[in-house]
Amino acid sequence: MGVSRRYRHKPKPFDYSRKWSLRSVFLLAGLFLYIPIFVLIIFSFNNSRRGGNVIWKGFTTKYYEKAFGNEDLMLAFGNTLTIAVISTFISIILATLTAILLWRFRFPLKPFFEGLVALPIVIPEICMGVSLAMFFSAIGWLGNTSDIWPLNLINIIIAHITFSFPFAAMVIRTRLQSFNREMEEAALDLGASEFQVFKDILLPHLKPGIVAGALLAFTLSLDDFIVTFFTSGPNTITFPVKIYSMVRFSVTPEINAASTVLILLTLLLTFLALRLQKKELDDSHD
Amino acid sequence: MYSFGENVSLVDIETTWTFDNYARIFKPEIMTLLWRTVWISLVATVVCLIVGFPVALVIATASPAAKAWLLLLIMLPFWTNLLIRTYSLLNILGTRGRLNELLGWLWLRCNDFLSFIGAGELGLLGEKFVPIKFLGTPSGVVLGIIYVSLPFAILPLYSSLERMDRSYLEASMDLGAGQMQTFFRILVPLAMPGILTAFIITFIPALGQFLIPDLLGRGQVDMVANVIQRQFKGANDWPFGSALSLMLLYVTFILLALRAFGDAAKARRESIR
Amino acid sequence: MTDNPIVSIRHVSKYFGKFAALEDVSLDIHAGEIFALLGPSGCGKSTLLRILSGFETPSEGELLLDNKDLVPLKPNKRPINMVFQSYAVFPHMTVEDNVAYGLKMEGVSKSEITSRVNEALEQVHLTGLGQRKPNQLSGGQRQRVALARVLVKKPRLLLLDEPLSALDAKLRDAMRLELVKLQESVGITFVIVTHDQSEAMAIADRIAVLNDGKLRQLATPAELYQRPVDAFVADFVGKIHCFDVASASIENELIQVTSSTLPPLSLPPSVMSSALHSLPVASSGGVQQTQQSIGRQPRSQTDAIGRLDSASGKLVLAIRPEHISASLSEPASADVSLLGSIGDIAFQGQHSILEIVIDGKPSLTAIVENAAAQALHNAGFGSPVWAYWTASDMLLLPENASNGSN
Repeated sequence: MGVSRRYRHKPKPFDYSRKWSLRSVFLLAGLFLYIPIFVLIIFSFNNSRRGGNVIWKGFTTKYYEKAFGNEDLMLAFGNTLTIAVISTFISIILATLTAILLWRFRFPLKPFFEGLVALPIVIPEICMGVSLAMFFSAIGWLGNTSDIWPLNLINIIIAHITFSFPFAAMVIRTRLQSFNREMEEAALDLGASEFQVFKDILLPHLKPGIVAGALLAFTLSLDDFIVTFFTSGPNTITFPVKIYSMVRFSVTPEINAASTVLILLTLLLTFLALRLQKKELDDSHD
Repeated sequence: MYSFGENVSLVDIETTWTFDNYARIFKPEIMTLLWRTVWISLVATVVCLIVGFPVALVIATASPAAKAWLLLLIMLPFWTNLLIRTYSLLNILGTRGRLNELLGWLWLRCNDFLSFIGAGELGLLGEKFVPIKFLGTPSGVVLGIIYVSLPFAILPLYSSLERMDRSYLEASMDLGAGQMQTFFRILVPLAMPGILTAFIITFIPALGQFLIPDLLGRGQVDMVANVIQRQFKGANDWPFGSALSLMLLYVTFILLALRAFGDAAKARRESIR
Repeated sequence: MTDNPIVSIRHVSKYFGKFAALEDVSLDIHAGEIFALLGPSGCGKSTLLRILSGFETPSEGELLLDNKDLVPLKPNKRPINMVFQSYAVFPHMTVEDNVAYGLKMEGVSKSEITSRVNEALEQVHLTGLGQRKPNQLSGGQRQRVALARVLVKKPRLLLLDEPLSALDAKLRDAMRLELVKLQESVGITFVIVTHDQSEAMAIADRIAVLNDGKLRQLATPAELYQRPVDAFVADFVGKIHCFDVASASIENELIQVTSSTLPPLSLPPSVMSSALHSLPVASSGGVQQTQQSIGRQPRSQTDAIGRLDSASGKLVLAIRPEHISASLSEPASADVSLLGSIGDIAFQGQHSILEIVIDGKPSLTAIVENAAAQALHNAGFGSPVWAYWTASDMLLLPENASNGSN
């Protein structure tokens, strides 16, 4: 038998993902991102009255009961969901139309309009908030416009549409770029009318983009604090705005509990989005 | 819809914007504020890039199945409410918070280790563990901005690294360059467009951060957005608030224009070649 | 073939801005034939196909289907259907739904749709795959779906845009035969666009060669190969060697040609391109007549060459490789023989291809039997070799006949 040397498996020169140094950076970054959230979730079950985020005093769910029993908080939560649902719905219609218009037609100043649509994506949120606040004050809609639900939320809804529809339009446009124009021509060639082409061919192709765009718009609306803070009146409170005022007041396990609920909701949405996307990809992979 | 809001706000500003508001921006305390905003954002952005690059590299070179999961792992916090994340950090960073607890524990262990090797009497680490004050200090704000924008920085870095052809790296090594040389002379320059995008995408929102300086800065580390907010919600000095937010907007546009200009120049250079 | 054309394209031009994609193209397509539009990319063949399908409108000219004007009809109202280059099989529909789509648009009853869809799937051998989604099919199967989808509508005209270009070589050969069989069984007129001359030759009854937006020649595959109208067509449909012509004239019913690279030659009139004699005698009728009348009208033929020489530039003498023979000794009697040296010999299966080097450059290729190739091989690289051929196998062609002849 000849001498045979066995090498332990060594990473190839550019398998950066197998280098322990880089892996540990990744691990630390991951810990950095997750530890605060986990601590928040864990201490939402802490049985301690004040400053409850330091010493563990036993397991309890009483702060969840307290959070769910807090009428203001629940009202704010309801407002947030209402705003998110309505603004997402309108955003997605606007976004689909905008995306198709910008994709389909050539018209003067098109790059200018494209830039205008993309603007809210790049500018700092606070600038969005300021300009929207000024817009609403100019037309006299700042603060409470009506006492009837959900009309009292209308300015917040408009504000949310303004900043979320460009994101949705961007997602839908990306999807449009993968559309094979021959599909459209094939349907026309087989006798479909322009509207039938839209309904039978273009819309099904866009569906994953529309779903992704809607989920994005929904999450953005759910998350938004700054713009709502600037455009809402003193009596219309959304969930983040309510949490903000509670945090400023004091740090209590109740906030942890409410936050945990929102985190779970976001997690659920993300999971849903991924499932849908995977399914669509499996379906229409061509 | 947006252009509507934008135009109206511009009109509004024009009607009220005397040079007073303009001049007030150049007052020393506002200049201090602007400078603080820029350096805090800059430090946070640079740290994000330095930490984000290896993280992006790990994701980009992982196996396809792992890639999706690692990416999700990094992006998940990004989907979580900004306010909640800031709040969660608030819990950690307090003087009696987790981070100081951890540091205190580390201090004790180190001291034990020093006594063990017989250096305990030297008091190298101080008499007693002093909790680091994060809240209300710039370090806390920087940490907070890093925390919320790290996923933002990683994404463009990842996408530029992901698209990179590994044969460039292999060619470099084949020509005799070492790991480090290849990294700095080939990998980093090739990833430069991604690095620039990551810089802009991190730096611009950082400039406009409100929640983090507000909650973690405790009103002692104000950034531009906090002052803007106070003009609107407290002081009711809207024109000055708009002037400041317009400043912020201009900075954003200048950065984006520089970026677009750089891209165009690069495209021109490449087309000549 | 009936004389009554199913489609008449008359003086059709299409301009995109200043660019002329098609210039004054006239041709008839007969019922029941496979008609090929052949040309290099950018020649205008796809534009012509899109004009037929209705996605482009001609800038000038007439388009008739069954003697009725087709131009005002929108694509979804034309009894003309198309198999797209990318097949454009709708990814979110099952195979059955894809095939049924055109019938649903017509408003055909459900029961009829079911039976016609099944029939169409059977025609393209996809029975049993009706419930599959396109992403579960191979490229070849997807093409069959695209075919079934248009066959089911029983169109007057079926257009195929580069139907075989996306398939691998083996499948392509099988599909050629199948397309021809399918066309025979359904009897629908096919128009195929292709840039692959061998594909057009194998499938089509008649081929229209286009270049730079102009129709160069419309002929059967055999005619196209044996009697190309000019050097472009000759070269496009198969390998050919061209020699510059210095002068040409007609004496004693023979064409006297001189060339810088060949000895002076006397050629029979049959070597002349139809483009050369259609010019002077256009008044006296078609091509056939002209060829027969050459002996009686020598003067006008001489004029013809003289005029063509000055009108559309140079003439060339051309010979196809299969007409060239090779010999290690000087051939005793050959109309044309050239001395060269042996270059590469490539084995091709039933025959070999010999490269003959003249004046230091690889100049000619000849197709030789394998036995002869072995002898040449034994003689060795660089050994002298004679290439020779019969003069009547050559073709006298204008370099570019700007107007095609029918």
